[in-house]
Amino acid sequence: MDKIWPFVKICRVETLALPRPARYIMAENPATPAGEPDADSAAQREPDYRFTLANERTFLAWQRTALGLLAAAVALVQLVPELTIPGARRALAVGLAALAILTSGMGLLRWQQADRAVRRGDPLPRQPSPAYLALGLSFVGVIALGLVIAKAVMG
Amino acid sequence: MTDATEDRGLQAERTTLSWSRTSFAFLVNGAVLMVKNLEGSVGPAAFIPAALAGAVALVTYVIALQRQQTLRQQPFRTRITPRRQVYTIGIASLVLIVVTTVAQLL
Repeated sequence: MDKIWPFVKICRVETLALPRPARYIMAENPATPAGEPDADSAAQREPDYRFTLANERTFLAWQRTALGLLAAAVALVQLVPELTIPGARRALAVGLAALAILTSGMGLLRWQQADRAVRRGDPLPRQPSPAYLALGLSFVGVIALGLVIAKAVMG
Repeated sequence: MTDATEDRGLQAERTTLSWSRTSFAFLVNGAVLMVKNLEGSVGPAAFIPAALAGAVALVTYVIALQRQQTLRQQPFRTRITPRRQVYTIGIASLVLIVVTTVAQLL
């Protein structure tokens, strides 16, 4: 604790000493009109356009991931023949649809969080969400593989 | 100076392409939902999600065109945050997933 404390203290002081919006507003920001150096008094100042557009593209990528999951769920129900265990196909499809809802909602939430952080000059929030998505998809994949093998073995 | 201008052009281009790609993803979902309809003998319950997906694809494409117009003006306007568009598409996507799940999967 003795060793950590002064370090933490210094870090805090340095963080507080930073001009808050400086992290996201570049010196050569083309979005701000020239000859306006004292404009960052406003807390809701428009951030660098690169952060705005990157956040927008990330949101759209989340939505496309959700739509891909939805398409997989629908294709599973409509195109794949019934598996060995009755109802297993439908359960898999509903699982995929649930993942799609989570992904879509997470995309919206992440866009909000990142937009707020960029406007206030805070660090971007951490996100553990892709790990959950990967785990969910692996789970669905393993179950699907098991069902296919069961069908092959039992005929 | 040239670098900055080119970078801005590519940023805008990537963003516009991202919107049209998302529109295409909605359209593909509509197409997948219509596959069963080709065989006939389906009620409106199967048609509603497909029509919704098509409508949302159209809305997304219109937003893509609007964004292209907005981002084409070289010194950007001070406000380019697409708050309304993001909420529209996020909520539309959630509604489409829920409607599809209720109509086709449950």
